[in-house]
Amino acid sequence: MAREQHLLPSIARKSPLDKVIVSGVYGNSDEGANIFIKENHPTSIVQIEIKSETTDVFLEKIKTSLGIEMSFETNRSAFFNKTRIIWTGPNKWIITEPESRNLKSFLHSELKEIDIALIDLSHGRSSIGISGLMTRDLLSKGAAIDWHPNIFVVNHSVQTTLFNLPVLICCEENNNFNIFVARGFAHNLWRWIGEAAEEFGYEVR
Amino acid sequence: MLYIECPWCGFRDDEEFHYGGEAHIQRPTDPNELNDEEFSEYLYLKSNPKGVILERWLHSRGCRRWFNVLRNTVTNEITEIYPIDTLPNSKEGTEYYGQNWRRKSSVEKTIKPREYK
Repeated sequence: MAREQHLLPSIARKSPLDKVIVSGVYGNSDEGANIFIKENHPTSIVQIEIKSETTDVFLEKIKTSLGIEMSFETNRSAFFNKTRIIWTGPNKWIITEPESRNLKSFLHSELKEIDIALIDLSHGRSSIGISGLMTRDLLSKGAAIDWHPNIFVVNHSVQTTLFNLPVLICCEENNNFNIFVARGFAHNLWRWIGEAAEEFGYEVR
Repeated sequence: MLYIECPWCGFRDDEEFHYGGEAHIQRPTDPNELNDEEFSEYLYLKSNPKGVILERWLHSRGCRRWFNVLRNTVTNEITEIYPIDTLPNSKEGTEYYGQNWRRKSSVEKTIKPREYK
């Protein structure tokens, strides 16, 4: 427990984009911005991995503890309130929410009956939110994924490379995407997105 | 440019993958039983056919899982994708696996054949 407390504290966590983000409207924005970029900070991000024998219990526990009705479908995410669970591999997910509690400790106590591996990634990942009319056009410049609204539907998620950086992308609403990237790459990705968004006109929030 | 179908993530660009070399190479259970020639056969000799080959791929930028692929080295056509701990199901794949020189190599003669699921 002492160790958990030591790991706590995270509200004062410093963003890797702290000195980089300057709010304003940029690029070809005479008719208004078509893209809106923001950093979701601070965000709790916990990776969870289970054994395939415990899948049914896990589904039930996620329902009771987080209220999320999830499935084992690949490349999908599910959410309840502000907490979202995203598929990242067979029997592997990322659970994320705006930081308000120690998510890892919470999950640890809720799921202690199941044999699971929990890893707190909050310190190591950044979350960048992109929304607006031209979002899919912007993303298609950086990754060879089918971004058509009929294919990349709401709650769909992919792990791929965006502008050559490994990322996890989740569609939260139509034209509203959340991108998770390793903290060290956040600055690089932010610059890439800004440059790619110039032709559409973008607003940093 | 290859367009590979990951068994979990679906079709993706080959830049998301890493090549893992020839599939189904078994490590000798007791390397001391082999002479240098036999061990170097296991370690260095790789198949390089003009036609179909069974190979391993890793979806390193996606779900980070390994899987096996049956690919034609001439046309780059991928005819079968199957899990890492299984044998191919297709006629081409089964034929290639059975006829591969490795099945008769001294390494495989000395060890118990691997039990695939």
